[in-house]
Amino acid sequence: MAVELNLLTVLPGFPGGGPRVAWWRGGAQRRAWLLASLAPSTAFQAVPSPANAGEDKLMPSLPPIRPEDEVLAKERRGAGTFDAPAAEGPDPSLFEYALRLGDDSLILGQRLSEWTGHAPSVEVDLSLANMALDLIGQATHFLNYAGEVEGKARDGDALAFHRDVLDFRNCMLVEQPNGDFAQTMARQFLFSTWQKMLFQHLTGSTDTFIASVAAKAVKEVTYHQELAQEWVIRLGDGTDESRRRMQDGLEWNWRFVPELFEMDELAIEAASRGVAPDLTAFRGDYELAVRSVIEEAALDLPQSQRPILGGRRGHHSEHLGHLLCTMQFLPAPIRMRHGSLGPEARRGGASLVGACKRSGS
Amino acid sequence: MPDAYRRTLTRQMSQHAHSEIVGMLPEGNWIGRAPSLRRKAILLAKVQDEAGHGLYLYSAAETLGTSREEMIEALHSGKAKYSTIFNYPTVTWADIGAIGWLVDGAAIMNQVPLQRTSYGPYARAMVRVCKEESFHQRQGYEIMMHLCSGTHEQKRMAQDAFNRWWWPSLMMFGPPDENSPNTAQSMRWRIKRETNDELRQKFVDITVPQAEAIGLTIPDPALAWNEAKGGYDFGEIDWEEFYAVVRGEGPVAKERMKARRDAWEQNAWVREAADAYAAKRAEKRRAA
Amino acid sequence: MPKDWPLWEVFVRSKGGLSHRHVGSVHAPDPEIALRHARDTYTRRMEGVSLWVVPSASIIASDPSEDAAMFDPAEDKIYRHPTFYNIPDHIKHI
Repeated sequence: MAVELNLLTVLPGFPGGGPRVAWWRGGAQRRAWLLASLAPSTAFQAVPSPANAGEDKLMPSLPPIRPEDEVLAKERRGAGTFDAPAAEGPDPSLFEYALRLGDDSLILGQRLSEWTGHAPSVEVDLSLANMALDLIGQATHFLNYAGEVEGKARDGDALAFHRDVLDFRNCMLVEQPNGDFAQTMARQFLFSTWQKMLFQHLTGSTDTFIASVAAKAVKEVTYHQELAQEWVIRLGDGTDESRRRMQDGLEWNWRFVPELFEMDELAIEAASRGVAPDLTAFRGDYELAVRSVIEEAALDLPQSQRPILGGRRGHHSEHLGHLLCTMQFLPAPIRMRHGSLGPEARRGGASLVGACKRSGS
Repeated sequence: MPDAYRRTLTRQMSQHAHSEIVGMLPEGNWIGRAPSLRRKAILLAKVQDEAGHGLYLYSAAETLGTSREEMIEALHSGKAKYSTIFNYPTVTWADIGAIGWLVDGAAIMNQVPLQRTSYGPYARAMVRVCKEESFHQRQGYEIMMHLCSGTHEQKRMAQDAFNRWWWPSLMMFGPPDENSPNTAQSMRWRIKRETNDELRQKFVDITVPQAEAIGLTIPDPALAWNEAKGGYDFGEIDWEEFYAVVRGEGPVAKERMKARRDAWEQNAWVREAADAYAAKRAEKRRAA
Repeated sequence: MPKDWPLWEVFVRSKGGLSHRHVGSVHAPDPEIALRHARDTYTRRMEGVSLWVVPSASIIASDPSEDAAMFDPAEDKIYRHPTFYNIPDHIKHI
C-alpha cells in the first residue's frame, strides 16, 4: 500500500514493560516478523517514516537486529510460512484467531446481504447473494469452531448474536457501509484479494480444522475475487460517472487495507504455531495484484492514507454498532430478559443459547 | 401463435415474474435480522431463489417478443400488476414463517398445474421453480412450529402473523370464478388448468389441519368441516379489500414500488458503465 | 429511460458426457459477466459442470411459417429407419 504500517506509534503500550518485554526478548523470530510487517512497501511508493519511528527509540529494551536475524526474516518470507515447529501446550490464541476469521466473513456477509432486492439488475442480485451465502457459511464454520475451542458452551450463534462491539474481531474493512455499487465492489475487491491469499496459505495450517475450511472456502473466495475484479475494471474504465464513483469507493476503503497485514501479538503467536501464515509473506503479492487491477481499470492508485487499525482488538468504526443493532435485533430482547449485564449472560451459557434458538428458529 | 394467446401469456408470465421480484422485498426485510446463522442462510437462499425464479420467468416471457426492459417499465409505471400479497408488511419475525408456509403454500398450489401449461418455455420454467420452491414452504412452517412451541410472546407473535396472512393468502387464488374475467379463456387455452375457487378450496383443506397441529386458531368463525363435500366451508372473503390492494392501495404498496424503481433507476449508471466498457473493448478489438 | 443489458442464451452441461442443454437466458454487458450471471442464476444447486453463453442475437432460428418446407420432406424417408428392413429372426447381431 502507499502507506507505511506504523504499529508502534498506533498501538498503545506496545511493547510495554514487564512480562511482555521478556516475551519479546524470547523470540527473535517473532521480532523479525513484526519488523517485516512494518517494512515499507516496495510495490507502492512509501511515505517517509516519522522521525521517531526508529526501532531503537521505540523498543529500547531490545537488542539490535543481528545479521542472522535478518537472514532468518528474509528466508521466512520466501520459504513459506508453515515450517515453524508447532509449539507445545494449549493454544490460548486459537480462539481469538478463529474469531478473526469468522467475524470477517460474518460481517461482510451481513453487509452484502443488505443489497438483496436492491441490486442494479436481478442477475447482480443473485451474484451478491451467492457471495453473502458463501461468507455466512464460512462464518458458521469458524465461529462454531471458536466456541468449541473456547470450551464455554458457546456456539456460533451465541458468538454471532451475543457479543458486543468490543468483542468483535473482524477487520474494519468488512464493516464499512455498502455505499453505492462501486464502493461495495471496491471493498469486495480489496478484501477478497486478501482473503483468497490468506486462505491459500491457511490450507497448510497446522490446525486441521482451519485448514479444511480454508480448502473449501478458497474456491468460493477465488470466485468472489474474480467477480469483484471484473466489476472494478468495468466501473473504472466505463463512463466518467462510474470512474468517479469507483475512485471514490477505493479512496473510502483504502485506509483499512494495512490492517489486513497487521502482525500484532496474536498474529505472531498464531504464525509461530503454524496455525496462521505470516501475513507479510504475501503482502507484496497483494500489492502487485491490487495495483495491476487498478491500472487495468484506468484508475489512480489512491494517495497514501494513515492506516486505521483496531478492529482486531475490538476498536471498530462507528458503523459496526449499527450493523449489530440490526443483526442482533431479535436475540437482543432475550438477552435483556436474561440480564445482559449479568455474568451469566456475558458468559453466554447454554440457557442463553437455548433462549436464542427458541426465539429464532 | 394467435395474438391474443401471446398477449395473455405475456401478461401472465410477466405478472408472475414481477411477483417474484417484488416478493423479494417483504422477506428481504428480515435477512439482516434473522435470529440465527442457519436462519439467515436459509432466508437469504430463499430470497435469492425468488430472484432466480423472476429471472427464469422473464426469460421465458422474453421468448414471446417482449423485452425485459419493457416489462420492467410496465411494472414501474403501474401498468403491470404483481401479486397483491406483497403489499402487506412483514412486521415481526413470525411473518417470515407465515409467508413461507401460507404464501408460498398458496403459490405452489397455483404453480404446480402450470408445469403442464401449454406454452413450453413457461412450463419448463415452472418445473424448475416448483422443484426449487419445495423447501420454501417447509422452512416457513418450521419457523411457525418453533414459535408455537416457545414462550407466550412467541406464540402471540405466531398467531398474530397467522391472523394477518390467512385472508390475503386465500385472496392469492384470485377473484371467485363467477367474477374472474380471464379464467374461462385461460382454461380453454390450457394456460390455466384449475379454477381459482377449486384451488382455494384445496388450499383451505390442506392448511387447516396444519394450523391446528401446532395450536394456531384459524381466524374465521365460519370455518366448519362439511362432511357432504369432504372439505371445509369458510367465511366470506372481503373482496373490497382485495380490489383495493389490486388498485395499489395496499399498506406498503408505495414502499414496494419505490424500492423497485430506486434499484433500477439509481443503479442505471452501473448498467451504462458496463455497456460503455463493452463498447470500448469492441472498439479496441476492431482497431487491433 | 434506463437501458438493460443485451440478452444471452444459457446452455448447461449437467454432467460429463452429456451435451449442453438450453436452460434459459440472462442479461449481461459482456461475455465474462454473462458467464458469471449464468453461473449464479442457473447452477446454484450443482446443476452443471460446464456452461455456454451465446448472444441471443447470434442465434439463427428456422422460420415457423416454413415448417412444412423445412421438416415435412423427411417424413416419407422411412428407408432411413432400421425397422424398414425385414431380416429373419434367426439372423443375429444385425
